[in-house]
Amino acid sequence: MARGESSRLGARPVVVGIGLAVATGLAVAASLTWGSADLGPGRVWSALLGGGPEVDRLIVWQLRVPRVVLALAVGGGLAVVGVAMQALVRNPLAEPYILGASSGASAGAALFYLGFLPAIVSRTVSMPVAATAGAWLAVATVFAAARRGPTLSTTRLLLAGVAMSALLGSVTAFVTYASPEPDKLRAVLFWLLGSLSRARWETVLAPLVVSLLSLGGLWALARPLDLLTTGEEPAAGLGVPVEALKRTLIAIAAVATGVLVASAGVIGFVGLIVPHAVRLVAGATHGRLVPFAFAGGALFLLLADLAARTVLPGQEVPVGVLTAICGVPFFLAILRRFGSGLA
Amino acid sequence: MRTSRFALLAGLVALAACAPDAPSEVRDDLGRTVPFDGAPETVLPLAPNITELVAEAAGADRLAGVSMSDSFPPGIQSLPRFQSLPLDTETVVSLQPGLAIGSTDVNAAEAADGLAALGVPTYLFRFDEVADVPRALRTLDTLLATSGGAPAADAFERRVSAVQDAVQPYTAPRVLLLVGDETLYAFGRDSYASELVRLAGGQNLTDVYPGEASQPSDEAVLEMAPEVIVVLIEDYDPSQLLEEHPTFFSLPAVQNSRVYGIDPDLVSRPGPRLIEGLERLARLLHPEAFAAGAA
Repeated sequence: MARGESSRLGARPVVVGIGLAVATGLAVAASLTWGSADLGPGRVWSALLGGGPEVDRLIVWQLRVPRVVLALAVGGGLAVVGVAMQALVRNPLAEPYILGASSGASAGAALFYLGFLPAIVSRTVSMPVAATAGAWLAVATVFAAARRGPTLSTTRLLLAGVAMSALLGSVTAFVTYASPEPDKLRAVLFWLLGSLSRARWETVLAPLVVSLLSLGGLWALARPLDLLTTGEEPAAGLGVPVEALKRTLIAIAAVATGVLVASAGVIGFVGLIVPHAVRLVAGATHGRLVPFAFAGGALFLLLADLAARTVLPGQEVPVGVLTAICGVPFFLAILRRFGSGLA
Repeated sequence: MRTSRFALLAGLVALAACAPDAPSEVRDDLGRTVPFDGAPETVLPLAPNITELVAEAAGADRLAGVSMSDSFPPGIQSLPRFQSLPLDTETVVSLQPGLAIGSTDVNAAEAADGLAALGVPTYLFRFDEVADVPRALRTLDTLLATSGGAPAADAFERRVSAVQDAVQPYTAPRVLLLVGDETLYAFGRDSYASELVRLAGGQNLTDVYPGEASQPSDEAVLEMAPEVIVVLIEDYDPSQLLEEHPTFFSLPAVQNSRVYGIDPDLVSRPGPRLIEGLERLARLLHPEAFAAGAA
């Protein structure tokens, strides 16, 4: 960046922050109001306040509110994990997939779901456990392959992650293909394309906590992250414990991706696009990038899910499909409008 | 459409009567031309419901093999197996059937054309409505020069009428028929399953969705307030539905303990056992109509 970032951006970050807050408020209101059941704002409001018929209260409090919370948590979490990955490998194309965590989680989930793994406790507990275990195994393998003595090679990490993703994607495809339960295939597909339809109060807690912890952790690391993006050697020269920082970022990314994929399936694209969009609009310093990316990802997924729930009357479209359909034009527009500040 | 099918049948009968050895052709349910040189020695069913239909009309000994997912009738256990999705063309050709018979809900026209190009004439049935099952049984009599299909078709139709008569006096409950309990896969208004619910004396709630299949959301189900829920899972445990969808405790079907399971093969395979599926469905919807002493 040739000129100082603050002078180039002027008051824009403040405007962006206010805009994100207002837009998120509107999106939450819209998400609570619109859905396959046609309640209208009046009935939604009275249900929120605990009045109205029982069906209205169930729809609003047990289906729509948890779903809004899950959308915000997963969208925000995926976006900050994307920020962490991009800082870690200093590659603009990095996102949660890069460690094989997403594909590991989906392979674990598909193996369990299609009856290849025994159930522990109950199905609602087993599936997230299987997905998280898959994510962990994948990341541990990638981590082991990328280690070279005491240091961790970024290039090897990238290559191992991409290879692992390919392998586990094939495992998922194979177990889906060879499943003894053909009627479950569509359900698996839906899950692999991402869906927030499983949102309930008891299932939103884990992703919410993990996302907020990731946000807090990365925000606290904003300064070292800024230094890391200038290069590992310069950062180490300035006193950043580079190896420890890299391991911390990997741990955050692995746990967050595992938990988020387990609760909402594989939702691509958020972790890749949102951080870049935020960089273009509000600058690349992590002190701003981390919270703005979280807010932007949360808003983006909430809007995508709103579209997923309303585009076909009474039916749902996998939200992962819509993140791409809604996200790409938006991102290309931002790229065109603000892209001059980039390299 | 109907008349052309009768004309086809009449033509086939005439053909079988006067010129049993004259090479000719027939048209299948897609209007595809299938070379037909008299009834084949063995046929290869490309879908499980076709296996059941052929076994009913002509006996299992006319089958050259069955697909991996076949499970009925018991007489098919020793037959060679092949993969039907995607179609294992090599095995199919090596079994040398005189005719392959498929169903459009499982087999694509392209796959059938591919087999035909390799010298295996392939006939596709289409099942849009319940009446297509007896129709297929009668067509098989002609294709296989056998006589078991017609009486089976007559019996099927008689049992459908008996069910209709039994449930006719009673009010139709609101029914949600689900393929799966986790993601709510259901049928749409253009499916034969929707007609099955109507014949069994129920009001199929997913008729609001066009097409063959639908996927209602939890919200939509809460609004529909089904009085009966039938899941296509054998020996279904209703508590599983509540585990997946806790809000459903408020539904009339759950409150009145009217969540049932049915062996999926009896409903999702448009074959001779579809009538058993219909009768079970009717008994679940209208136990009062089938209680001892009911007219």
